[in-house]
Amino acid sequence: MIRRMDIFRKPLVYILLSVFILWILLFEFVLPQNNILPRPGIVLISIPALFEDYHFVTNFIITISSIYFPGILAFLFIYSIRKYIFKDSGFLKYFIQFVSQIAGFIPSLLAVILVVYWFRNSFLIEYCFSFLISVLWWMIALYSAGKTRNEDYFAAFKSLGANMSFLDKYILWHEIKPVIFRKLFRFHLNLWLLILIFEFFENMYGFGTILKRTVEYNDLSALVLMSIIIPFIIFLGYSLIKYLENKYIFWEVE
Amino acid sequence: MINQENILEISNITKIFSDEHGTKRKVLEGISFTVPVSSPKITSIIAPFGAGKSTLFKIIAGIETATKGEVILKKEKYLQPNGKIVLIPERSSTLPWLNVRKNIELLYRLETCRKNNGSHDINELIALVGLSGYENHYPYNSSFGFRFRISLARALLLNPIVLLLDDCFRKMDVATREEIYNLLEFVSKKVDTHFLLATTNIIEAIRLSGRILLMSKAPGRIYKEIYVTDEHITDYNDSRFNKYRQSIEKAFSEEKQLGSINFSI
Repeated sequence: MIRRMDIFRKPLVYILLSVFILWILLFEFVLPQNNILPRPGIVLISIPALFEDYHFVTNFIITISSIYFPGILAFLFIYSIRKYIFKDSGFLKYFIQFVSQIAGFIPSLLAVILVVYWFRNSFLIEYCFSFLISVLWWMIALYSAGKTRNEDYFAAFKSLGANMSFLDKYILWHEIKPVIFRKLFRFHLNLWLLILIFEFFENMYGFGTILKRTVEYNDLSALVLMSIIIPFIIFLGYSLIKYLENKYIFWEVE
Repeated sequence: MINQENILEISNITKIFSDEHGTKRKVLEGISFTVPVSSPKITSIIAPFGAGKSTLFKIIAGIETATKGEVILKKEKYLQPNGKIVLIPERSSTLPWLNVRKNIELLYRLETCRKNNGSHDINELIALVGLSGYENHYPYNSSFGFRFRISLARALLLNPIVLLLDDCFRKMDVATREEIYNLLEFVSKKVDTHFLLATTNIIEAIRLSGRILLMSKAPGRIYKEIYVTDEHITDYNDSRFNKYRQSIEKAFSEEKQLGSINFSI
């Protein structure tokens, strides 16, 4: 019943792995002296510099915590108010519909730039921004997933005497899990990109700031190194979500 | 006097739906029938697709409100669903994330179950529907027959007075359907519950029920009632079987409803 992790079947992973191997072969052995990309050996040597000059550990903690901590907190908040979201009526319904439509028109990148511009040099704003984006995402995800519910479950359990609280807790919440997980993979990637862009413009902490500094210092080795490390960490996050999906979601939506 | 002997009384049910433009559509019109204490344990309603069977069953189960009319269960108006009239809908209502036992046990969390009705033993129910040994199986990817057995056991846990089966066998293959027919006949003899079956299949209705109500389409209304007095006809080529079949076909053709009824096994 448990579905296998299918990440290695994705063509993108094969392409990235091929590019990586090609880079090692081409720039380590065939073209060690060039003005295009640094030698893999040089990149390897620059690892200690990444820790000393760019404070990798501190920035790693800040980026990771500003993605996953607010994301989980936002989930817990939305989970606690899920019955109002599933209710599909009142102020919350119109708010979610409004936000969904606005999100379609205003690019996230513009929102990032505006927030950085308004709250420059504020350390906590990155966490608040990530929390806000996550709350809105979870809210829209739950709302739209709730719309795909199987009315027959509701009819059957209502006739058995179930009230809305029972239906939300024992039926609908479980029913929408596969839909939520499917959406979560894309959101995970999007949140990473938004936070990296945020940090890039904010220029205070995080991987985005390291990327900006490597560009400013013209440090191609560190830039290449970060370009390998960041997708790898994103992949680890993806794998964790995939693991949870395989463990807990073993059925398909009917 | 007659009312006192009825388990279920459906009185003049009319349902009108309105769309967002305010256009009204009458789905059910003045549906009235009774299920007396003495009536056969399984009663069928045959109707074409789109006649409003599901709407009627939802109204009977108290999930949907009727525009006009009322449902009376054992002399009391049935206004709120409380597990005394239970519906098994057309699509599967078994929860794929719970195994067979937990699908049934979930009802212990319901107040209706705790209060009075949940008197059946789960192991007995599982055995009754033929799922002994499958308690830990998950219904995901299982046959419609397997899922129906779970739904049936779960519904019977509450010891309902009436069990509504809304075209539950339509998606099953012929062999599974025969198995389920036998199961339903067996179960109906073992429990006090009366079964009300909505179907588009004439064969199914004759095979299972002692009483058949014919329902027309647009708007749905009951226009004929046929009693199957010969018990347990399992041979579809039996002359008695054909007698009922012809009489139902004739009634449908008179009402010009024939095109959307299923005559096949």
